[in-house]
Amino acid sequence: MTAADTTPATTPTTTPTTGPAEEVLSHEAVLTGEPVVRLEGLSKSYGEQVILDGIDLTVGRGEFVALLGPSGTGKTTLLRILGRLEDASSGRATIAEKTSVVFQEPRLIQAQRVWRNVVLAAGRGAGARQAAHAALAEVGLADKAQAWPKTLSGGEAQRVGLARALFREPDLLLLDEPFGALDAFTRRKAQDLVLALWQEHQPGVLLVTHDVEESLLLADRVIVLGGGHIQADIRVTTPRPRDTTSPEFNATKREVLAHLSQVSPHVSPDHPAHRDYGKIS
Amino acid sequence: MTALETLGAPAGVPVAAPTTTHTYERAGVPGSGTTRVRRVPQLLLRVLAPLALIGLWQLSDTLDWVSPQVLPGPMAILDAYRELWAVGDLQAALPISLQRAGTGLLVGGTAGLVLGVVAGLSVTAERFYDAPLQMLRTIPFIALVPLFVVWFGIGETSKVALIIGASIFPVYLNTYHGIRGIDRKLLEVGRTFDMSRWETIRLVVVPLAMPGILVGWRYAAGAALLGLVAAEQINSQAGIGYILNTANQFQRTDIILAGILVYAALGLVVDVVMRTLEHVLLPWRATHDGR
Amino acid sequence: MRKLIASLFATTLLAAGLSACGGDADAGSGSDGATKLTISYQDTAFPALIEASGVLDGADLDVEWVNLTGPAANLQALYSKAIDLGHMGDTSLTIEQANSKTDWTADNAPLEIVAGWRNGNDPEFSPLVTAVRTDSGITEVADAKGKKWGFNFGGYNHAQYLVSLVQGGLTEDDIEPTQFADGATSAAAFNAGEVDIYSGGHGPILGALASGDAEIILDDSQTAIPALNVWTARKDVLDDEEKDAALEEFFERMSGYWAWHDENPEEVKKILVEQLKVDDARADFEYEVRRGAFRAFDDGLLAEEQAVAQALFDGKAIPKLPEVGIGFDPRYNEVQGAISSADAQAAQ
Repeated sequence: MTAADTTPATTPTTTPTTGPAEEVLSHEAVLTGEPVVRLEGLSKSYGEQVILDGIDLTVGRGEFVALLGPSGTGKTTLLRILGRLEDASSGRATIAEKTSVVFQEPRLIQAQRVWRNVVLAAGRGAGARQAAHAALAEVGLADKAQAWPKTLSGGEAQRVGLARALFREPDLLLLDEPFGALDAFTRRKAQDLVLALWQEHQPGVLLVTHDVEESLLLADRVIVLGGGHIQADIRVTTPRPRDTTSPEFNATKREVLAHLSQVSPHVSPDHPAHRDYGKIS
Repeated sequence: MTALETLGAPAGVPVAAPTTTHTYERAGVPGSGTTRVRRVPQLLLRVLAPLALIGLWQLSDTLDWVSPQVLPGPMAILDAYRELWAVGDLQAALPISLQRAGTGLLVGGTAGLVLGVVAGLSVTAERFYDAPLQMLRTIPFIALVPLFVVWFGIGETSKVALIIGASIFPVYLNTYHGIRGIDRKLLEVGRTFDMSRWETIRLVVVPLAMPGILVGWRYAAGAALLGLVAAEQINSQAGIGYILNTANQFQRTDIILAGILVYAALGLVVDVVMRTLEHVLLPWRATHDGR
Repeated sequence: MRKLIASLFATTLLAAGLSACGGDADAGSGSDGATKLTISYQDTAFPALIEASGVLDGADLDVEWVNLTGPAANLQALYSKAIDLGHMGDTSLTIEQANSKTDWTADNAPLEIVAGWRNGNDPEFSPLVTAVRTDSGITEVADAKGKKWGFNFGGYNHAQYLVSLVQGGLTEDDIEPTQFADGATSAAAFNAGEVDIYSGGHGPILGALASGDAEIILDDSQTAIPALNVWTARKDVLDDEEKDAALEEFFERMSGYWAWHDENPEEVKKILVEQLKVDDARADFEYEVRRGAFRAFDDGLLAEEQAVAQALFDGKAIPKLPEVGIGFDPRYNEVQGAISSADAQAAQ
């Protein structure tokens, strides 16, 4: 909670909840050393409503972090702050400059061909097109480079979104429930793809999800958010690929669900149907 | 799949699971054989209806059902064209009118585009001039003819200014709504991927607003042609509007109808041009709509 | 972004500004030093005829012809200094004066009629008529009770309508007045049988008269309406010595036009057909109705004009009764070779 001296451009803050926010968070973020995210006392409130209340969090390069929590606990708000789509009310944040976001829906620009969606503003030359092809090849869509987004399936579109995010070779990759709209089969394949790409490029990843199993399948750390605070920060040490039926896996899962049940009264840690509790609450 | 092929499904018919394919096909999609048979009479019908109408029209003229003062027959209108051509009015009218309409459309449409883009992007700009523009929009520009004489004189300026006035609003409105209709989430993409404002406009805003913008230009082109009638009331010695106005003054119903048909033809040309433009500028839509 | 908006906005303003400047008729001198006159006429035939007659050849003045339809456009163009002479009917200025916020005096009147002309008073070619549809059963104005009567507001067509009513011992309450925006529309309605009786121009209903569908019951000599074509000048043009001299030369030369018109019927009709797209019958009529001479602004004419103003005033077509003489400036009558109405009658 005390002022850190690593980044002088940012403003230190102390007050967690009371009173209107005075300090506006600066996004003059510079990556210093290994961490790609360092949050200190980060708070966000809309008027009287406090969404995030003094969040401290550090994510290192190459670390895969999953963020769980009931709807309305500020998961998406936190991701939006990290993605520079919103400003925090107070606190300080140091965020890697090269940050990419994969959104819940693909958010492709229908009027641009697939490869252009991947490249976006990053150059117009022939090199850009080749690089886009390479990025698309990584997600298995090399043949769709010239296609229009409207001709893609949901899974394909989301993979283009992933290629777009990786194209910048980000130090921090933010994933906002990117598999939510996919069917089970496609979802599974997309998860494998994300994992493979993460292992290949080693960015810091922050995955916002509703799905406990998904978080345990993918992440090194599972953070449970509730009431604007970090309720739990659980390390998952099982080596990958992980077996969802193993006792070890299920033990961790129960632990996570237990934490969740504290922040969300509708969740019982023993009920198997509550794997995707977000949709129940 | 084999069942499908023997049934002769036309290429491109979406096929889901084979079990549902048979019912789907019988219910909705005509076989390739029937398609060809059906298309011919459709084309014939398209041509037949106008032809029958023209025939009936000529008949009513020949049999004196209506006085030629009220509705001259097609032959009379052909004669009117011949007359206009012999004097040289028609040849003189088209270039000069198209130049007036074109200049006015270009200036007015561009102004509308710029105003629309700026208002679409900036709330400040929208607050600044959207309300006054909405007020101006409702003024019938034909009623402004006398004022335009006072403001812009009786030369080309007042004529072109009138057409500018007619064509500025369709482009403005449709551009503005086209931009405001863009999903805010897509603009966020630009922000997260560090696109500059200009790059966002070039790569996201303008391409996505293009369908609306084109609709605006289509309307504006129509308005510019109609504006000719009003504009060419002001000191003109040539032009389609001039021909119409003179014919109106001297009770030449046949020439009035001939002039109106010229407008119809020009409207058709505008339509073809805009369709072509849409194909060129909106390829991503063409694929979607299946042409 | 702010910079972008500013530059886009500036571009727009520039475009608007560009279209705003230029365009005004150059009221100054012509390129070769000759004085330039910008003169309006309500169709393109008269300018073409004048050119064909050659009366302006070798003149020490440049005439730019302007085509403006209807009195409103001509008055606007005069006020905006786009033209030096505007073409209208002789009643237009009476109406303009009656509607003026300030009363016109000989000193402050902004406009002056400086030339008036018409053909001889032959009823067959009377420019102004009151006519009935033969199937309406009307043979004299008094029969028009309860019938639809078409006219257009303002101008001498309106005067013809009002005076016709008075002559038939009727008021507007006795008939069904049907007002149109302009003479052409009013005539079109009469030709189509939409109204039973009509006051307005003779030419537009020629077809209905020839076919026997319509007949004239009152011409302008019977209603004593002068029905002149006039050219109106702005006061500051008249006060400009150079323009004044140019106008004098213009009218002196124009006085020679009428003889050419009388002597070249075939050429005149050919030009009329070409310019106005009229058929031969209408061209014959227009040839006759466009003959004539300049008329002198004498007491007799002014008395007739005043009577027209009175009729318009009584008929509530104008809010106040003007002194019409203020709007007539006879300074060019002499060079025009203008004749009195009495002489015109005698010449008939």
